[in-house]
Amino acid sequence: MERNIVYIALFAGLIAVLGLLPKLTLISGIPITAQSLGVMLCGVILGAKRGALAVLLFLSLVALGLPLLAGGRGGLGVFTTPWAGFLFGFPAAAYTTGYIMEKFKHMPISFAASSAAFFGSIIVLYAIAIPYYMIGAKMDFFQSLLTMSPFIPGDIIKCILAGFIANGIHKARPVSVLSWANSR
Amino acid sequence: MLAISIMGPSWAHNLKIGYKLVALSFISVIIFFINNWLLLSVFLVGLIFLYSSVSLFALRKGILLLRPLIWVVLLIWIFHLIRGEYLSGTVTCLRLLVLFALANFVTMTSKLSDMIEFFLWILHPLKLIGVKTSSIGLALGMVIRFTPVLIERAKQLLESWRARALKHTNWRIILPIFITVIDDADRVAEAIRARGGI
Repeated sequence: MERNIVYIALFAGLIAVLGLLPKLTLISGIPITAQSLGVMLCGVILGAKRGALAVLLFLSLVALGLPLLAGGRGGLGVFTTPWAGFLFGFPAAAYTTGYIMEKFKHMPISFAASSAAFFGSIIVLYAIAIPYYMIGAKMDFFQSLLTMSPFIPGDIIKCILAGFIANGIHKARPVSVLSWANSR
Repeated sequence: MLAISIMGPSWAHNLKIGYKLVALSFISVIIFFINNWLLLSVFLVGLIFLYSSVSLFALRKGILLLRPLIWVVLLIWIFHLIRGEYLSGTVTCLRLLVLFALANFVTMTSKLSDMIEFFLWILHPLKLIGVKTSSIGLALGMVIRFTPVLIERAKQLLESWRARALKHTNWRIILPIFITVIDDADRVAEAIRARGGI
């Protein structure tokens, strides 16, 4: 029980720290960061419920004013932007990623983690973020997709990285992969 | 850790956080429905006065916070102009700027501790469903405390890599970082359990 809460806090912090890694900013304003890798790992390692809670914890701190988003951004302002759809989609992405991860328990872990990350943190995330962006920026589907397409290759690399990390953690500390643990 | 909020007494700092957030919600909803670019520009100018009324430093910081948004807004504006939607583009962009700057103003003039207090108070109803709000408070504090520790850990590992290897650090450092950090978390959990649990 204590371990659950500490892990949730840990992974929320990891999302923040991953946002600190040097990023590449594109013209569309959305930076390519390692932060979504943190969201993927929340789902992959912590599972659906705990992963989503970790992401919600992270978002709460951003809303409370801490500059934890990539680029030192934060505060209430970021939730008013058109790409806040990503922020609102993060918990759903982590949950879906965790859910798929839990269901793929008997597959090789890299494959399970990478596919869970792909379906949860790319497909589901963009499914939420793109319509939100369309409404917020009043652009149509193809314009929005165009603005976001530069991120997709980076995100796919992050999926593979998530698989690699899950594999490594499973080998070194199998008990810590909460998504595959039997006990609560 | 650096925060977005600025220090110092001001009329905005002295307002209770609940009032500020309620006012923010109301005004945001109203602004969302305004389609008149002239009115939105007036709001924008009004915001400049709002920030200045706290201090010139606040105004400068406010503009700094807007910087990353400017690029997106420009892009969105250009997209709309290309399609010939001059009015809708201008209105959308102005609205974005106003909402963003207004929300940032609240964040800037509120202390983190006040925000956390308000946040926990708002989550009180969750107690009825059986969620332990004390755990949430603890988790919040833990993340704030953990994040610098995680950065320290990463720095330590990078240093030890550089001390031992001829090559530069590469992406393989990531696994040791994760495992070290998970071990830290396990130790913290044990320590909490030893002290009576959450």
